[in-house]
Amino acid sequence: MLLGCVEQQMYQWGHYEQSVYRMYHSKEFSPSNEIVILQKDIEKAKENNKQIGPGVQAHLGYLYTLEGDTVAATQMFESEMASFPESKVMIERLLRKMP
Amino acid sequence: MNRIIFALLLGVAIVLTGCASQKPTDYRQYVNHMPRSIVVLPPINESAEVAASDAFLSTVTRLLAEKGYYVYPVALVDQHMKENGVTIPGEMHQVNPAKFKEVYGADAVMLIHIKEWTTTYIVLDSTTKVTLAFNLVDTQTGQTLWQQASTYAYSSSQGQSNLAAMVVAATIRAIASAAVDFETNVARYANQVAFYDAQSGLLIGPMHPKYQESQVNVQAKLQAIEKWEAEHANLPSESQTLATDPAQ
Repeated sequence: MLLGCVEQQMYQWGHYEQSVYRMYHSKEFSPSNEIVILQKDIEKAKENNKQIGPGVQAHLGYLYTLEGDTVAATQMFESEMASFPESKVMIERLLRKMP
Repeated sequence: MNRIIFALLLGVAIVLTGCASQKPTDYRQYVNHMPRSIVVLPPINESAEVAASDAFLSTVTRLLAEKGYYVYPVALVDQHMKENGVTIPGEMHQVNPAKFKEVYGADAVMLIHIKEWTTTYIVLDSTTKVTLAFNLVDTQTGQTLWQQASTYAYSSSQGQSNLAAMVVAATIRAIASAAVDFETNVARYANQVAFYDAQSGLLIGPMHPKYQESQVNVQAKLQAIEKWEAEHANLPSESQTLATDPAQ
């Protein structure tokens, strides 16, 4: 009963938390560095057959837009929507902005 | 290992809040409007600690998502709002909740207020006291589904006399091995206690594999508040009787 909400994790998170924190709090925040880190995290989750946490792929998509890579951004946004249909309204809005 | 850590943390939370005579948490609106997706807004920071907001924004997603909700990408939402002219947390919190349904499809908005963040240094030890208010608001009705206001203390090396706190401190260090710094540890700890509290924490959300199973517990919580209200509705007349009849 006491352990009722003790669960193993549903998702893999990689460096998402740190990446968000650095974006706000690091003077040397570099989207391209974060892209490398998060792309690896996502690949690792796939290899381990684990689901990456909600928002991670969309966040990576956003980082790609900062780098001007709209092809990779679109791919990540679509990937977020495929993993989490809950994101549909937001993702479709983001995709409409893509050139 | 993580499982043990969670169990310990949860145990601490229960010890801290396990007061029998308290009014049970009212989960009725929450259950009626159970959200599937939550947008977290950047916290309003009333404290002097500038790192506090970033620390909360970065640590809130994981704890919330693991509870069974879709959590929108916090930085993306923040930037998107800024691009649309809503630039500071104070303004973001004023936006009509219905707008988050329209723009992102979010079922609920999580609003966080950092009321206080003070760190006291004594020799080698530092204790940080954080006072927070959480509000989960339904985007369709604007009603508050869940709220939690509390003060959390986190010490860099907890006193020897407090075993529970020592466990928490050690735990946080273990969880946070890859974390950025002290502020994020404090934020993660406070979020964790607030969300995972057995009496007043968040309910298990629809995306969680144990969601169906948790409904028994939810029904018990709903009955607890109904029972409490029924008992306390009678209280004024009882006390009147007592006052007018000294023989009792």
